[in-house]
Amino acid sequence: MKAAADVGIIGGGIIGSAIGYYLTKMGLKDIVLFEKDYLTSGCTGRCGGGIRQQWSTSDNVKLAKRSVELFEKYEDELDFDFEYIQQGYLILAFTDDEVRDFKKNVAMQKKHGLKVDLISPRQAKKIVPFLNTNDVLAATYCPTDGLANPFLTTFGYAERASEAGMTILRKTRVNSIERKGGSYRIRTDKGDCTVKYIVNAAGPWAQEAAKMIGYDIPVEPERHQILVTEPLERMVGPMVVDFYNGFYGSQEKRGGFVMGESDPSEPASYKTSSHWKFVESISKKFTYLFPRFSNVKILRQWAGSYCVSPDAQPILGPISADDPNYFLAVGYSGHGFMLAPATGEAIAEWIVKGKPLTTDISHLTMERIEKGDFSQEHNVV
Amino acid sequence: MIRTDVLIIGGGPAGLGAAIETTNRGLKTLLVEENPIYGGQLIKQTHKFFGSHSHFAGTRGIYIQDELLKEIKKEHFSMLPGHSAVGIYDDGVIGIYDSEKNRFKKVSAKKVIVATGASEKTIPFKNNDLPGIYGAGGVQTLMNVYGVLPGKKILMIGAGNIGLIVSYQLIQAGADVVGIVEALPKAGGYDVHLAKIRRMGVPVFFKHTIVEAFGQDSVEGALIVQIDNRWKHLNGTQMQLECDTICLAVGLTPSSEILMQTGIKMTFSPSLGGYVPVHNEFMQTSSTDYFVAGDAAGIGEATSAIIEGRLAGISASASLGKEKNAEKVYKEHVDYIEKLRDGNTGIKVKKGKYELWNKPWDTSMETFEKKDNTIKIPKGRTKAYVSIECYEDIPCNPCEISCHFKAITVGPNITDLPMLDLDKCTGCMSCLTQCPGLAIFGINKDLAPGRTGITIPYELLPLPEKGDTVWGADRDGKIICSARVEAVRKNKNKTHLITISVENEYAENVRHFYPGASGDVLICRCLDITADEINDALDRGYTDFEELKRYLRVTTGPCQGRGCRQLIMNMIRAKTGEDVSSHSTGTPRPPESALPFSAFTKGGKK
Repeated sequence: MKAAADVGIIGGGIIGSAIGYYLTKMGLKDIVLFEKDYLTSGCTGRCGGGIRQQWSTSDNVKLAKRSVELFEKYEDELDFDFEYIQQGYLILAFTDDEVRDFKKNVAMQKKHGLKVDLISPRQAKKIVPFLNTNDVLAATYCPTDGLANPFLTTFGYAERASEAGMTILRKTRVNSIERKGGSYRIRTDKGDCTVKYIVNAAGPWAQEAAKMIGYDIPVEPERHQILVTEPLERMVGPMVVDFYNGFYGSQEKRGGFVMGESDPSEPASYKTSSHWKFVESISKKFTYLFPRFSNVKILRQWAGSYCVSPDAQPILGPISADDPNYFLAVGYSGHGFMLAPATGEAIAEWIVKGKPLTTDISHLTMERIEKGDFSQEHNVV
Repeated sequence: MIRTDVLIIGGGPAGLGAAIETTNRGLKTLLVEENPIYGGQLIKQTHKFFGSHSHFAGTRGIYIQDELLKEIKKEHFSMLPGHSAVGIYDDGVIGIYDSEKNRFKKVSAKKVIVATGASEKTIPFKNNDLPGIYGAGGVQTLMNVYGVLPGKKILMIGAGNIGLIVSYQLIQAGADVVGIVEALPKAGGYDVHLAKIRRMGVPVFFKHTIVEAFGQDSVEGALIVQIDNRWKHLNGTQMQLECDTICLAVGLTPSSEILMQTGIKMTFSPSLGGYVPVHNEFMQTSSTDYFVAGDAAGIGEATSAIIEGRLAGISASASLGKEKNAEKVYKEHVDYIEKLRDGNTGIKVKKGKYELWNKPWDTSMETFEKKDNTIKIPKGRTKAYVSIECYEDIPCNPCEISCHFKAITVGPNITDLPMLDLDKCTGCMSCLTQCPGLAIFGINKDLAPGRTGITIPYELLPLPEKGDTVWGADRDGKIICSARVEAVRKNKNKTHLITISVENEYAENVRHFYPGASGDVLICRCLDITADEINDALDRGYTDFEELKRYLRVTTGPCQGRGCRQLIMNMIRAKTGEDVSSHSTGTPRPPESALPFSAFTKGGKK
C-alpha cells in the first residue's frame, strides 16, 4: 500500500469515483480510493439510475441541472458508454395540493432556467400513451431529465481516474483514522496510508467513517426496495413518478422496467433483503398506472440503502472548522447518482482550488444542520 | 498381350501385401489399380492404425502404402495405375482398361490375386438423391486426397468405425458434425473412436435412422426418427437437423464381381458383408488360379487386409512352386490374423471366416474375459501419471511398445487390455502420442495448488498457445470449466500433447478442450454476452464477479446465472489465477423464476 497520498477517498461508489475523476481532471492525481468490497458494492450497485432536475429546493435544482450538463458531456469526455437516455421525467399529480405544489416548484425551477412545464393529463398521455391518466389532475414534465446506468457511470469515472493516477484499493476496509499533525493516517486491514485530505463518500456507512475522527453526523441508512422486469422493446420514454402513491418507474435503455417505491414505515437499518410486501404493493401501483403491462414478468427484486439526511439534501464540504481537510459527500437521500457529477466537481474544486466555483453549495454544508437552518426537499420517493 | 506370372487386381493394402510376397519370391508381378494413386483406402486414412506395433500399428494409414512399397522387390514388379480390370474371359485372359488413354489391354497371367476391396452400402430414405448426400468413402477422398470439404454442417449416418473416423476427420478439416445417427443401440466402431468424437461434443443418436433429406436444390436438413428393436419408427420422435451434407457410413460390401465372371464358387455371408468368393485360410478360391484378399474376401479392416494379401501372395507363389515351406510361412500370418480378430469387434469376421472354412465354432469363443484395467490412484500421488481409458478388447499394443519404462503391459494377446504399473509410470506421456485411439491422458496433480494438469493428445489445428484460456470439456464434449493451456508439445507424428490445467474438482472429467474461452461463443445466453466480451471486461480489470456483473450484466437475465455463473467464475480464475472460491457470486433474488405482475395483484385492494 502507498504510504502517503494527497487525498484519501473512502468509498468506491458513484460519489467517490466522480470526486476522484474530477480531482484528477483538475490535476490532483495523488489519490487513493479505499473500497471495502468492490466498486459499486454499496448503494450505487443497487441504484435505479434516474436523473432528475425537478426538485422542490433551489439547491437540489442547481446541482441537478449542473449534473445534467456534465452527464450530457460524459460520453464524449470519458469515451465511455453509460447507457444514457434523455427522455424526461413525468411527475404525476393526483390531488389539488400536489397541483398547487407543482405549480410552485415549476415556477422556481424555471427561475433556474430549467425547461419544465406543468401539463394536462392529455398531454401526459401523449408522452406516455400506455399510462392510465384517469385520476391524474396534472403533471410536470422536463424533457432533459433522463436515465443512465449507474454502474457503468461509476466504472467510467473510476477507469479514467485510475488511468490518470488514482489508486483504487478494492477489498480494503478503513478501520480507523488518526489525526497526525495536519494530516490523517488512514488505517486499513491492508495497511496504513497518510493523506492530507479525506473525502467521506461512504454512502450508508458515512456515519461510521465520520465517527472515526469523533463526529456524529446526522445521516442514517434506510432500505429501499426495487425490481426489474424482463426486457421489452422500449415503449415508455420518461421516468414516471407518483409521489402520492410513492412510486417511480422507468424503462431502461436495454428494455427492462425498473421501479421502486417509498415506504414511510421503513426503519433505519443496513438491511438490503427483499420483502414480499414490496412486490405485492408495487405490482398494484404499477399495474394501476400501466394496466396493459400487467402480464409483463418480474425478473428480480432487490434492495439498497439510501443515506438519508434530515432535509433529504446532501451534506457537502468540510466536516467542521476544526477539520477543514476532512470532506463530506454524504446524505444524498437516494439521489446520489443523479447529483454525482456536480457534487463531484464541487468537492474537487473545493480541494484543488480552495472553494467550489461552478455550483454554489454553500447552503449544503454541515452548518445548516447544526443551525437547523434548512429547507426540506419534498420531492422524494 | 501383357504376360506376367502374377496379376494383382487392386493396389490397396491387400494388393500391396500380396505383391511383397510374390516379388520377393522372384515372380514377375503386375499390379493394376483403377485409381491414379496406389494405396486404395490407405491414401485417405489420416488416423493412426490399430493392431500390433510390428505391423504398422500407431502409424497413420497414409504412410503405410509407402512402407509396403519399400518391401516390394522392384525388379520383379510393375504397376499400372489408372487401369481397371474389366473382364476375365473364358481363355483366362484378363481385360484391363487404361482410363487415361482410353485403351483396352489384355493380360495373360499364371495366377490372379483379386484385391478389389469393397463398395459402400446405402440406405433408402426420401430424397436420397439430393445433391449433398455422399458416401463416407467419397467424403474421405474429397477431403483427404483432394483437399475439398464437401460441406460445413455434416450429418453422419452410421457409427461404425468409418462413420466415427470420418466424423473425426471432418472436424479436423474444420466442418461441424451436427450429429451421428446410428440404428443400433451402440456404436459398431471402436469405443475409443466414439469417445474421441463424443468429447468433441458431437451428439450420437442411437436407435435412430434417417427418414428424409430435405432442401430445395441441395441438402438443407434431415429428418431423423427413433426406431424400436424391430426397426419400426416411433411416432412423435421425429427430429429435424439442419445440415448441408449427409454422409452415409452404413457399411461396406465386398466388391468381387470380377471373380464371378470366372465361375468360381461364391457364397453369401452376412458376417463378411455380402457375397464373397469361397476361399481357404490361405486365400485360395475354389480355383487354383484365383486368389482373393482384403475386403473383397469379406469386410475387415486394413491391417488384416495386408495380412490376407500376404497370405494370398504366398499361396500363389506356392502354387507356382516358389514356396516350399508354405505351411510354416503361413503360420505366422494366420496366427496374427486370428489375434486381430479376437475381441468383440473382430469376432464377427472371424466367425464368418470359420463358417467359410467349415471350422468348428464354439460360441464360447464369442465371449472374452476382460481384465479389469482400472487402477486406484493412491491419495498422496502427486507425480504425474497416465490414465489409460481403453476398456475394449481391440487388437492394439503401441502403448506397450512406446513405454520406455515398461509401465504398460498388453502381453502376447494383443486384444488384452493394457495394464498400467503406476509405480513404473514416470508421467513421461510418450504413450499418449502413440495410442491410435487417443485414449490415454496425462494427469498431474502437482501442477499448481488446487489445479490439476491434464495432458490431452490433440490433433486439431490451430494448436493453442501456452497461457491461452480455453474451455475444458467433459467426455461428452460439454463445457464444464475454463482451463489454462500450460504446455504445448508438438510431435512429429502429429499427435500433439496439450497440457491444460483445471481446478482439481474437474480433473476427473475434463478430457477435451475447445480453443479459447473466447470468440463469439455465448456465455450468458439470456443476455447474449459472449466470451470475448467477458475476456475484454476481465482485461479491463473487471475481475471481481460483482463488478463484472454490473459492467456486463452477466447473470442478470431470467436464469439468474444458473447457466453461466460457474463458467464466469472459472474464466475469472483462469484470468487472475486467484482463488475465487470465497468471492461473492451475486445474491439470488426472488422471484426464483420470472412472474407476471398480475400474479401479485390478485386479492387485496389498491
